[in-house]
Amino acid sequence: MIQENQILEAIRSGDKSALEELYVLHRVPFLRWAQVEFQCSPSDACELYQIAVLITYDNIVVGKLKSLHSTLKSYIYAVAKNKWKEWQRARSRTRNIGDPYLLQLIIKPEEEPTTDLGAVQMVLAALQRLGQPCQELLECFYYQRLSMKEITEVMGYKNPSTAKNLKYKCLQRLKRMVVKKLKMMYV
Amino acid sequence: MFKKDHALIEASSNTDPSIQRIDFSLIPGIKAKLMHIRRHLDFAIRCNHLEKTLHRLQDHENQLNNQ
Repeated sequence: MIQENQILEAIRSGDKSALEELYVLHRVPFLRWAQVEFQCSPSDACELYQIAVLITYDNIVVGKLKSLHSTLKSYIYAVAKNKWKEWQRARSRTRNIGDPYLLQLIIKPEEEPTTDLGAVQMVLAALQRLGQPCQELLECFYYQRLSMKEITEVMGYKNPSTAKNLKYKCLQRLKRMVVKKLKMMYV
Repeated sequence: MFKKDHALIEASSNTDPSIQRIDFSLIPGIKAKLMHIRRHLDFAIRCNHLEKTLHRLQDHENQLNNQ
């Protein structure tokens, strides 16, 4: 079985199967533990585990979690404990973890003080309309911070110039979609 | 892969009416707003990716339950 530090490295390098490996690795013991610890239902424990794994994954990709001082397992459990408390507080306002609540659950406002969620939602909507392969290409560049050489390999392009050219076109399309929306709102 | 992706991007650019070139000077304030939006691009891409990733985990969970 793949080791935790290998999972960390694999997620960082963009290996898509690593997330599923991580998910399966601690799933069963976590679900048992969470139901006892939080006195919650199996489905709540499952939702909590998904969020905790997702946050761990995000922290690895954005570089907040660079090396392990303990284990990924204890990291996930610590995230889950914090999120459970937040979730309990938020439940008085909303029952489901869904948009746009998901965004606020994952990224705390104090970490992104200048974030205008309305603006983010507008870009998000355009991004979702943009479709593939643009979404994946922009994610590789802006989220995973891969180089053009790495993007060329991940996406199977001919060379880095091709990747750069396509990324430019995708970004232009996205901008025009946002402009169109703004035009409808402001003109 | 390049040809396929290139064709997809080009085709959608040609058929999407929003892809017409826009004269910013005719729309006061929008360019500034767009610059503001640009600053949110990283965040929006991150959110979009995480949302899709969460759906992936949910699908994986369903598969594990069906095994």
